[in-house]
Amino acid sequence: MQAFPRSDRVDIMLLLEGTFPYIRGGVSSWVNQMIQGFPDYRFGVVFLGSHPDDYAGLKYPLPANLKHLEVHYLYPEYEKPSAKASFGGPEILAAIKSLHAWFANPTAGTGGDKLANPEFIHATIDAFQSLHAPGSWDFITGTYQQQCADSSFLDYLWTLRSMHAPIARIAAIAKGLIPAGCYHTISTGYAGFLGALLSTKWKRPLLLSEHGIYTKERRIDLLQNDLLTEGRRSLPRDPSQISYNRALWIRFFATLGRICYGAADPIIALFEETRQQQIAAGAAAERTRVIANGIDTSRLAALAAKEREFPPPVLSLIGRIVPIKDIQTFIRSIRVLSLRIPEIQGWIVGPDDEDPDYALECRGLVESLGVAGQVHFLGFRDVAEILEATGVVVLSSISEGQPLVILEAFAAGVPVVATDVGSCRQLLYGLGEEDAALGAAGEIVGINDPKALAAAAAGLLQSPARWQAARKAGQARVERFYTLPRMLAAYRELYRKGVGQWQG
Amino acid sequence: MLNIGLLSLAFVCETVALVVLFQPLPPPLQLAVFGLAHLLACCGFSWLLPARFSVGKRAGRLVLVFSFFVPVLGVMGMAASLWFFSQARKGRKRSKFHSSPLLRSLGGEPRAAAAMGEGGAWARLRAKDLPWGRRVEALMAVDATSGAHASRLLQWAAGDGDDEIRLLAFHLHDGREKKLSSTINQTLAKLKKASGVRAQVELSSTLAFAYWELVYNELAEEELLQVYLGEALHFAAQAEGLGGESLSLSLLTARLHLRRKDVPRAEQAIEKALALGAPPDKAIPYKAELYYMQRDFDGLRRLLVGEPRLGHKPGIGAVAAFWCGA
Repeated sequence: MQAFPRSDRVDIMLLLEGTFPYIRGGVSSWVNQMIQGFPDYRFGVVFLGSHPDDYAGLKYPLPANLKHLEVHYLYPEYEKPSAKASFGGPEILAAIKSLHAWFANPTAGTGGDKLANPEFIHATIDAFQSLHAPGSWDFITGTYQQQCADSSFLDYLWTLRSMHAPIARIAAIAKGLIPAGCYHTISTGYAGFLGALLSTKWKRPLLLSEHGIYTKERRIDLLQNDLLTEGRRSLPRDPSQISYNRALWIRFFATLGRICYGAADPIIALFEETRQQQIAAGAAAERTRVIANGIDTSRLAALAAKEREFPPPVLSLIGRIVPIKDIQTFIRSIRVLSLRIPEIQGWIVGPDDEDPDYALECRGLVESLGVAGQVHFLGFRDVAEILEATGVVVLSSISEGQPLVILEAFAAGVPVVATDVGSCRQLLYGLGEEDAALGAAGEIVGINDPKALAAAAAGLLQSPARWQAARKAGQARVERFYTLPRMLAAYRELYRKGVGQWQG
Repeated sequence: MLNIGLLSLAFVCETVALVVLFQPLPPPLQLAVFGLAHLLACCGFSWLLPARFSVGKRAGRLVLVFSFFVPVLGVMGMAASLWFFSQARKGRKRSKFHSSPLLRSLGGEPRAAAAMGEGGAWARLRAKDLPWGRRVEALMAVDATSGAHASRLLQWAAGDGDDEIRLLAFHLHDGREKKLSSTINQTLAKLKKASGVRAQVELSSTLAFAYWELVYNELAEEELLQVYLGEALHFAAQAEGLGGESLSLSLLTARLHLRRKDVPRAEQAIEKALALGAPPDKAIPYKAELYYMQRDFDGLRRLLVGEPRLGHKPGIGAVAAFWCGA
């Protein structure tokens, strides 16, 4: 087992759920970039994962100024609850009821000071979790009878247990974590909830930088998750209705989001649309602001300066092989494109260990479409090396924030074809007059549309003049609006305020 | 295709008709030559007018009479419309049988028809101002149904402006495709390892049907559907080639050829299925489709009249009743 750095206090504590340093990807790269961008601050990281088996070792070398790293799993191996007697009484039962009412109606405020106290939450949930607190069993069965008596009681009970377990664990983490000058979470959800508890406990500021809207992503996961049984199979069921347990999960994450929004200031979005979504999800508008991503363009400047007359017939998709990147649409587009450009090559550049089943499906699709000669899985590679040989970078994702890979492609002088998600449109076509005047740095297409993707890529590859113009537009845009110094300057100001007198 | 010879002849006749008017000839002869040449020119132009732009025989005669009694201007007008319809509008896409009235079951926009089948889900999904929950309900209702209509609706909703609706629709659509793709991948892997002929026949048949399911449920765009059609035909032929001939495979082959609009091969496959003992009420609907594609409406009617049981079959019953005039 690797020994992690430990400290008794840090300046900035990053609260991360399922990202750095165990998972590669845009958000993890951003976190890594942030820690390295502020060598004068001492950072700490709390990594929240689901289960130890889901992570195969560190994916990033730990930066020198990362002084404290804690790894916690929210769903470790099932442990039988200890059978010791729990404290109880009417006060605890009232708190449990209040906690449930709070989760059932996320718009009804934060539920009082007591509920924002991690020690209290820990004690009550622990008691509730093990069903040893007086009245807890009656409360559960009573709620079941009242809310969802037509579905399975076991499903309901395990839904509750699955919700309570991570909350109790997070409360325990908050109780034992070292102090920090300020807390910075990259999402709402469990990490955001931890941030809210810590911020309340230590009376230190909490920064929230959302790359995507966590509550929304969870809601979509939950709506299409086959693992959540409806539990009403024996009775005629209206297929358009969402089951109680599913709705309960959705409300649960919405409440976690609201708790985090209630405690965080500032609440940062990568682009305006996300900021509006944050406000709609419960964030106070006056606390929100936009700070766009930035990258170190000097690393790829040599590639951009290189004169290239014609685009190489290579499309590269740089990203993890996971469903959200919709790799299969990319593969299908190569099949369509190969009818127009027989020499076309499609490179899929990224690790495939995060979702091995999906990676296998993608390889199967390559076989069944007969494009094994055109589509190549290159694994994790140096981005500069790939961009040098690439004609067009493709992003077929169904959901994105502000993808760093687009900025990297721009910095290397490679046009991009991307789906109309996140801020891709803004990145490719510009936002506002000054930005739009720089021109289109590629083309936007709809999601899940291989034909449009192929047509857009062919349009760029087969028209050298258009390709050159897109190269120039991308380079100009990234240099003007999306540089690392620009982003770090904005965060330096926030960290300076957050850390305050802490360092001295 | 324009008949250049006939066109030239028509022009020559009209020129002769005009020139003869200014020649020093006896008036009766002048009138006879003018009349004959002009009539020939008018007939030529009327004949050349593409059938799809005339409205039956009566209208054709009217045009002929008009151009005959308006000597120069009438012929020029006809020549102009001839050029316009046969050249300027050549590039316009038309359905194959656009000039014959659509069947009632095929009338209207396909998407609207799909919406009717989904109990208003289409309308709810299209209403952007409807609360999010209502639109999700509509999406879940669509997902509870199967077939090409549901796929089309999910595909359409995957382009929605609302992030969550779009992603949910995408996941639901993708889930359907994934089930079939996973069957195909697993079967392909098994086929690679299979050594016995019986196993190869079975696996090839499974693949042919799985690819057909992708096509039938419209789980890909047209270009890819063509690829899947090709694969389905390949594996169906492979299974049959290995001695796995069956009426279900022959019927599948017929449907695949019908989807490709390859009439002769589809006909061959249907006949083969019938010879292998396919029940007429199963094979005849495809044969009827074949006749319809060939525009052999009399043959189609005879076929359906000859199989009265079809009139009581769900789905095809209404079509049979329509053609049999019941």
